[in-house]
Amino acid sequence: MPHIRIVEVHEADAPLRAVYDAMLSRPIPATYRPSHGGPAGIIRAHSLDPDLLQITFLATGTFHRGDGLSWAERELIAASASRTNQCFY
Amino acid sequence: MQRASPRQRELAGFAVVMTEAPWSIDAADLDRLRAVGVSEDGVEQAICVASFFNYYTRVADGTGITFDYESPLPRLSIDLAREALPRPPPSEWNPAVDGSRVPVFARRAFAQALLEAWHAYHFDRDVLLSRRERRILVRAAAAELCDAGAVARHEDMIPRDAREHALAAYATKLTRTPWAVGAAEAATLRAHGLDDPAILAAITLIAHQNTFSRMHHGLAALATAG
Repeated sequence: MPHIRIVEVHEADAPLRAVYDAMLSRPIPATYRPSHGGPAGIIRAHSLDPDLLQITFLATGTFHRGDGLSWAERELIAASASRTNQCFY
Repeated sequence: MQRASPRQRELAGFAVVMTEAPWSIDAADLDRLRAVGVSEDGVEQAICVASFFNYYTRVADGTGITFDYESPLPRLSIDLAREALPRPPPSEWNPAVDGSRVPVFARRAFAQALLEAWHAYHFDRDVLLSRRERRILVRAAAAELCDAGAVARHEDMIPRDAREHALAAYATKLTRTPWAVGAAEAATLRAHGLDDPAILAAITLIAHQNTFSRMHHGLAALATAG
């Protein structure tokens, strides 16, 4: 049970639905697509502020860009950081 | 089972230090990455990945969203009582670190405007949380990250009332021990008048500072000749 309200896709108003649709249309690896087919929880966590959601994932998504590390290496760093924080994400 | 390569071990180890003790990152840590073949582009990217995931994990913990990815990794067993590593005293902090400023990565100019916009969204507004409350959150988080510049910039952002104390306490806990932040901590903020949009604003601002302070620790190490 989340600690704050999460606006799910079926409840989303037009602005939030547009942001959700934009997030779902990103070319991302299949492993980043939850089996339920909707936006991942970490995206929906920002649902109370669609502008924040969009700005945040534009900025943070830049970690995928660059030639220095392979995708697997980026995932290794991400998993190591998350595990250190005892977090599933 | 395939063993991790030296490069993989160093990248994983770097991520752990960036997460648990970013104030300790120094030129030697970056030299270890270089020694296993990580390019300068890779070093900057490693700093960014580790820093951004210190954003995502805190938002996940603060909001309490359910993990919904398929993962081949073993299921986590969380020790809620686990303590954070001790912090060094302010006298030992690197004065070159200033997480109040937008980080600039020489090889990642494509990200600069987006980082600026993200920072501005959190700071150039007084809806949901006042500007003063935002800076109280930043100072509290930065203090836990040994971020000398951010603490100095917001040195007068000391809590004055119960609500401000609650905000600072929340920022401290979400920074130090995010795994221990749950519904009770959100309820405390609610008891001080924050609604859910304001709580989200607090969570994401604290998480944002956790990213920026870490990036600056990494950049300070980059600026030191190895």
